[in-house]
Amino acid sequence: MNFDYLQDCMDATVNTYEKMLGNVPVVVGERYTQTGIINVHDVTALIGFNGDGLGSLLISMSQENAMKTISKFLYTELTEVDDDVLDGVEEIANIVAGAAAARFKFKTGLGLPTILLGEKQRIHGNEDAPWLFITMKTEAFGEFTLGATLKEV
Amino acid sequence: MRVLLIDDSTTMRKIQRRALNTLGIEDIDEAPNGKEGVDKLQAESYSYNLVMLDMNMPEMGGLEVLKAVRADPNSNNIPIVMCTSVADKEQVMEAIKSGASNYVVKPFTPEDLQKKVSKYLS
Repeated sequence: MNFDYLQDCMDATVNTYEKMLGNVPVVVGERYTQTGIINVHDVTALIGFNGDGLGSLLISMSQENAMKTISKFLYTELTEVDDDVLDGVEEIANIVAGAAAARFKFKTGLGLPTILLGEKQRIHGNEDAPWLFITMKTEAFGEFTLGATLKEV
Repeated sequence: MRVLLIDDSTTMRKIQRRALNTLGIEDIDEAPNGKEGVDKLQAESYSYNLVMLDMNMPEMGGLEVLKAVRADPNSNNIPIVMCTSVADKEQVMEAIKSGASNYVVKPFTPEDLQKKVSKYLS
């Protein structure tokens, strides 16, 4: 892969959080690469890329941070992880992926997002398409993990 | 003023509803997919001043809904604002050619949305 697709995803995330949540996330620590079995947080939205770029994007956070984030998104106080919270996290991933795909160097479309919910969730990353991850945070909503894998076809 | 929101995301419908409420629009109906949106238009005798239409939906996507609405003489004058992801650039062009009145690109601020729809609600 000859371009920095994780940076595109990070830029899309910053833009989405700034416009739709009124908070600008900052990077925490260094980016990292993972394959094989990968631990994620309790609430994870996954969405696929298709077209000339095949891959996926995920946004993963704790249940507490998901409730804080979507409470702001919907301007209402959410105190349990219900359909509103899950749909909201799914929508954030959808918007971020759409904004990221528009930045990619080749034509990329989107699948439909889905949610993994529960403690000790894990995904599996293929060795020929490693996941790149970065941790981001906002003062208001805490930390979340942004991940992406992408390969040109 | 009556508005119909067609979007498979309950979150987006709530965000759009809130932005419209800020403009004083309270008479708002919702449909969770394109098929139900078209059915709602017919059931309500096409009495909407504006339709907000999501592009990417699993059952009857926004373009298909747009073309169906524009092909029906009962509804071909209703303003339709497409709500789209920036990844859908070609679809946006096709939507404009197919009769979309305007479009709003996600991510957007409430003010972005209000600017796009206000001229259809005056």
